[in-house]
Amino acid sequence: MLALRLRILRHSLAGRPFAAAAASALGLGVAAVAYGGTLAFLRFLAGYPFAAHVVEVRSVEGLFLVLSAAVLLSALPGALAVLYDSRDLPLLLAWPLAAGRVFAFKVLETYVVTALVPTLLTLPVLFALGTFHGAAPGYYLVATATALALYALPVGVGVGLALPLVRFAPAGRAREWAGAVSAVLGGAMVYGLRALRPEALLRQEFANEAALARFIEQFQNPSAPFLPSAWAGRAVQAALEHPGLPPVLLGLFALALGALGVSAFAAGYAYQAGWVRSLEGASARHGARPPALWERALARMGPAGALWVRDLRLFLRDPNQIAQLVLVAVLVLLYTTSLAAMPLEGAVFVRVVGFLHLAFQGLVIAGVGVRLAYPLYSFEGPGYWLVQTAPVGRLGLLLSRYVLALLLLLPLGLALGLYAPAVIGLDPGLRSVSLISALAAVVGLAALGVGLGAVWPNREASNASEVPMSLGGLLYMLLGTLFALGIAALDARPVYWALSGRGAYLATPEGRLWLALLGSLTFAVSAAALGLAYRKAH
Amino acid sequence: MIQIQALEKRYGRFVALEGLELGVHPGETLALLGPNGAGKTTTIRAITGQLRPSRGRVLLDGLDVWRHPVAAKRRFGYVPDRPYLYGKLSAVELLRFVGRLYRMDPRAAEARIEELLAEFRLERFASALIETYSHGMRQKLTFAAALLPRPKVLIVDEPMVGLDPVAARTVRNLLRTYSKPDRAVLFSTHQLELAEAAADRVALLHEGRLRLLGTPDEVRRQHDDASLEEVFIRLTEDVTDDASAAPAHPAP
Repeated sequence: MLALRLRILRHSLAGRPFAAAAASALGLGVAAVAYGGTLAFLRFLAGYPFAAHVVEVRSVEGLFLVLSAAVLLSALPGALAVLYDSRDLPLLLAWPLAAGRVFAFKVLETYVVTALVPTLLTLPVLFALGTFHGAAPGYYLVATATALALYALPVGVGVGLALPLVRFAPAGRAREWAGAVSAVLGGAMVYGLRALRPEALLRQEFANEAALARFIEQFQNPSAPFLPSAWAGRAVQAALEHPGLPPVLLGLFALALGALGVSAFAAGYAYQAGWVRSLEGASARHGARPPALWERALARMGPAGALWVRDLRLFLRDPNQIAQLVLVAVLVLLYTTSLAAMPLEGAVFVRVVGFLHLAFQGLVIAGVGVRLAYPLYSFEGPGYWLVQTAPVGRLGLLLSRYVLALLLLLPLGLALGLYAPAVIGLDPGLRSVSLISALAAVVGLAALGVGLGAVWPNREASNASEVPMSLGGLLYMLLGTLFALGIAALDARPVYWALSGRGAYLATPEGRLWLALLGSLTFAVSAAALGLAYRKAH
Repeated sequence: MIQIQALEKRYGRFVALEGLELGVHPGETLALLGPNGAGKTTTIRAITGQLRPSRGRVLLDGLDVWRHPVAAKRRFGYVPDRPYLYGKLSAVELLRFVGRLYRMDPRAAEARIEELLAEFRLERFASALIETYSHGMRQKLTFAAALLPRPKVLIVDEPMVGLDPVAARTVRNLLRTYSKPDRAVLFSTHQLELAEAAADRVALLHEGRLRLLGTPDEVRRQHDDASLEEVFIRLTEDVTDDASAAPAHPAP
């Protein structure tokens, strides 16, 4: 089975040699950055001998913890896809192979799919640690084994969590539930970063000896010594200090093998016993239900309304889209709460931060637009034939996509243009500028996203996150960034006006000229993008 | 009802269709035959406005598909060879979507949806997501979607793939009868028995050219009462043999 997989991998690499070479170069580049960055960090720490060891140990454990959590998040959907829903599983089980071996192989495949990248990211860091401390050759083996064993644990847990999901989620909805569980966990994790309160570090008084001693004492005690990430950290430290096999690594290995073995056995038993049912749709027998009120209201708007009803249903039922929405909401929350936590003292400082916010909000909308507006044509997917052969005009389709993109980006624009300036405490004049700039960014970036997405659609993408990773997506980010910077450049003038103590900028003739310039820029970008889409989309 | 005039499609130097002239008249079912790569799907995609011809034009009920796409598309229903449908919609949601695209009256659409779901035995699964459907169920739903607005022309690319025997019989009857008295059906197939059973005329495409056109009886008579299968093999092999016998690089 392994030989077969390796042969398939070799053939796919040979089929796309440039993509394979680019991916390898990118991987090596990331590894080199991780290795060099770690060495630089360790050299920097060496300048503070009283805290260097403690910070190094905690940092390694922190890395283990964050990457373990990332593996856990992707292990759940990964286990569903590889273990219960893979197309080759029925074939493998029909061949003269022991079922136990097949499921052990599938668990190994889940491990590769979900934990390989975190493992490859961890190894350069651990190797840099060894290089810095002049570790014995045996250290590198221990470090590799530690990373492998550590990330095997969340894979085992993910496979275990997938088991009740495929049994108890409603028929045919296990993937959606896995996506929803992962999105909520991911959102909670990202928001959990706020718990670190990085702004508190700015307020540490390291000149005060007693406060420093207290900080180090608190920091060197692991908050959860029984977590596998702490075990892995101890194994690495032990290998750095004494050559040989650290006993704690044996414990970690036993735990990892146990978790993987039990989960493989349970998955195989459940699958063969017919316990798995949520991936099947045969039991979902429901007669026709009447259309909902909102659906009837939208449908009165003709084909555009019909497209919106379809889009809303598809959007809300796609776990990848929900996951993206949750993450966007969490990031906006993180952004605004971070602004609220910043100690902004003095009107000048508030206005400077306000200008940074004005410059940043367009970039944030562009970053979200590449995920929500740019893929709207691609989301038609292989089912595009249905719209293509239906009596829907090109212009109607284009405008329906554009209005949808506007509706998707507008809440973000309002949150950034209206709410964030209020949190910062900007004066009313700059708040109006912020709102108008955010709305201009929404109008232009929605058009740019829909326009470029129509010219370079990717209807074969297997999930939503693949679509922005394309030539058109990169071009959108480039042009979107330029447009956002153009708006920021225009915003510099009203901010300068406010910094010099003057108000009511928009009521002045210059303010009206500013509005006209912003409007012209937005109109030019929108008309060019939508015009290009209208000409090229078919 | 369908008029294909001097239709040509080129991909660089490769000619997929060359000077195709073909018509499907009101009340007629026409089967488009040909080996793999003959140009059947290219023809159908050009008729349905998915593929812009390099030359020539297609008229549907007198309307040029590329000049008046919306009006022309209102006149046909289409079933593709690979029936990809939105997996996250239910059957009834998909059919309502199609009805709205064709601007059907909501009440008439609901009645027609109910009728079609019953005809294709999908009523018990009407609100289940399409991603849980088998290939055959998807194919039946695609037929229901194509028939929903009662189009004047039905265009079907490989109709029998994945259908169970009951659905296959329904589709065979549909292909034979839907064109009567004043509509038209065009379908492509590899199944010569289906062509004989359902089509009034057959057209054989090979290497982008029309090689044969006529009723099944005419075709048999013209070829010494051979079966349609024998005629198909003879014509497509003759052309292939002729092509292989010709020098790859003719002398100047």
